[in-house]
Amino acid sequence: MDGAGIEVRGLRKRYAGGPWVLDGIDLSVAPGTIQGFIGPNGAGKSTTVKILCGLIPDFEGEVRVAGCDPRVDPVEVKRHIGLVPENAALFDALTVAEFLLFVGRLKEVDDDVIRRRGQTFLEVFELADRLGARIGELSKGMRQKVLLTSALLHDPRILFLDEPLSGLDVNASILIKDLVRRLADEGRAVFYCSHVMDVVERVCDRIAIVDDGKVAAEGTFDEIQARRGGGSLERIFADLTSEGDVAPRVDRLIEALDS
Amino acid sequence: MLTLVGIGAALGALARSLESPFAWSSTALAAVALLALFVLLNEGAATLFDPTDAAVAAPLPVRPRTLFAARLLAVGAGLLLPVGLVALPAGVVAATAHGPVAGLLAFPILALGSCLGVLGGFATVYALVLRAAGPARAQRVVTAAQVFGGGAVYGGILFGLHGGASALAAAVDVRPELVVLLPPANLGAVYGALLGEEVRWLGLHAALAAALPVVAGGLALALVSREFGRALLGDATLPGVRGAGWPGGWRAWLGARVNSPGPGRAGFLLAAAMSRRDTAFVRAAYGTLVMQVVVAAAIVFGGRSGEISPRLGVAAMLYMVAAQLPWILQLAAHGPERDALLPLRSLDAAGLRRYQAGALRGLVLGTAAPFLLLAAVLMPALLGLETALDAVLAACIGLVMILVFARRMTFPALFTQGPMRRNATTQGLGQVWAFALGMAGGFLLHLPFFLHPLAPLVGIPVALLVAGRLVRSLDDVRLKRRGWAGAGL
Repeated sequence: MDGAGIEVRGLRKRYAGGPWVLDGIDLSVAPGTIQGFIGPNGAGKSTTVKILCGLIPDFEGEVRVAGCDPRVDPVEVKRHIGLVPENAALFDALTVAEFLLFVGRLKEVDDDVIRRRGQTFLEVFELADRLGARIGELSKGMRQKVLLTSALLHDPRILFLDEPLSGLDVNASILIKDLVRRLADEGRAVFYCSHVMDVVERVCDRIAIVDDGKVAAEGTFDEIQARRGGGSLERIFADLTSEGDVAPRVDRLIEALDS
Repeated sequence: MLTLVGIGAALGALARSLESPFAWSSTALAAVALLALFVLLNEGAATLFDPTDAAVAAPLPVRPRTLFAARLLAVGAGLLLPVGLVALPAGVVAATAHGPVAGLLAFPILALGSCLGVLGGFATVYALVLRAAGPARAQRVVTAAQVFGGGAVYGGILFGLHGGASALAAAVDVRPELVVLLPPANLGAVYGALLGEEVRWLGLHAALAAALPVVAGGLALALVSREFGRALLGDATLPGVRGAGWPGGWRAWLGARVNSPGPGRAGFLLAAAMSRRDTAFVRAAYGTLVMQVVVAAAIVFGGRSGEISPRLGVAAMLYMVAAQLPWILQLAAHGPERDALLPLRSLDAAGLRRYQAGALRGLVLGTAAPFLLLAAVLMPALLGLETALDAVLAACIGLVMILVFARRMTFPALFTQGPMRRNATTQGLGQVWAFALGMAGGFLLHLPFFLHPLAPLVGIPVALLVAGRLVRSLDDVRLKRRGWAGAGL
């Protein structure tokens, strides 16, 4: 297995004797690649990310992240990754500057480096004047920018981004998409989860569609499109994962409101 | 709970020694009111307005006044348990003197009335603060009231015992009509009349007893609507501080001096920030420390001249403060929502130890140490320079005790246990024991130095040396490591 990216073979996971949440996931993310990871609610995306990030230790199958087994050495995995989780809670009592110092110090980054990188990121994100503001006072988009900054402070080799554009305005979204592209071009592996299909279609080099704990389709967008006979990613996604036509279900909802 | 039942039973026993049912019930109902006020200060204010659920409540098509009334009811329901635990035993014991109807029926009902009056008054004051200070500053005023309110109530009782109560009694003797202005006496008059006691101005008493909760509650609701609505709409946050903002000042300087780079400094930074800004921590920890200072001051200053040696008083005060550390550590186990702890999960066991040691240093230097220092400076200024050496020695020994506690106690990694929902959850017999042992240990260590006024000169450098050694060895502090490496947080 490659030591720099992500390798997953036969990944299976279930909680407390329940059904298999993940049922044989195979995936390979090489350095320099943005891997899109999409699926309907409850398909197993978050569980996969948690396993890859060393947050869930009990699973079946073989997993390597930056050459490390997250089951055996989760701390070493966490040293090499940057994680931007969806709905992340932050330390609301800390100021932005304190939060960046806190996270950076936990990752053994030198204070001067934290200040330099943090200042630059926040200036580019137009947040430099918020360094002294409490995180609890920030808007959702501002918090997301702080989270992205903290995830990149230690210059990780692998990035896990779960809805990284959530709450961001259009300009910031464009900035982050370009940043992610450049980070990958410089050799980092990026694992990108999102429900925004057109972003995934345009940003990601390869896309994996998961449904019911299995990979339903995997490849570049062109490869998937060719196999499915054309159409947008949204259409292909719906064909693979939806429970039939949408229209009758919308009819039911409207009828419920009318009754 | 047992303490409250015991207090209730003791109050009830007073009924046999006080001839007048009016006097007894007024005293007992004043105690119930004080308890209710204490509970409201500590826990009720946080329930009255909780910014975290403003996002849920604000979009609902319900008037702010209705929401406030609902919260008031919830707070009132929360008072029933502590007040009942005092009032019911008091009534049961009093029934042996005043009969079952008075003790088991009338007294609990009047205790409820007393409780409602306090709740109404508290809500009115809260509404006035909201209106005067605005939603954001009101939260700070409430937190300050919680920190200093407990101490003020205790101080009022303790210092009042030495003069205030007798002054009030004298004033009522001179102008008996003043008694109608005392709410517990209004209810007490009703109780006395029920038992056939002749009570002056009974009608006025009864009218005031019935009117107070209604008027106070109504006034609170009338005052609160607009401001509470603003608060619900998210106006409860003070404007952010803008500018460079990278941490500086003496805390950052100290954090860099006493910790190596990395997780230790991260822990120090977090502890220094949380111990100043986390409202639940601030009101519980500093409230307790303030109360200890007030109690100790009452012991030292409230006693008759010559009753307590000033040197002994200084030592007592400082050891009472120092012995609070186990309680503060328990409080500091609580932190933000668990999801926020994600960065901490990248630490291995060695990194965690460094984080913990840094957080401990930040906590000690940010909480107990300033109180020790302040007391060590203030007490000689108030009690005479002859206590100065004892004050410094007691501060040093107090610091040693704190560090010994920190090394010997097994406690979870600081600020990792999720938010503290209620103050009372961290109280327990362990705290009482730790406090008693801390006091006893401090006095035992200090005892030899009472032999000669200059003897503390020997103890101070010894204590400082030991403290230095303990600070350096904090990196080895024992932790609960079970489940840390994986999903332990």
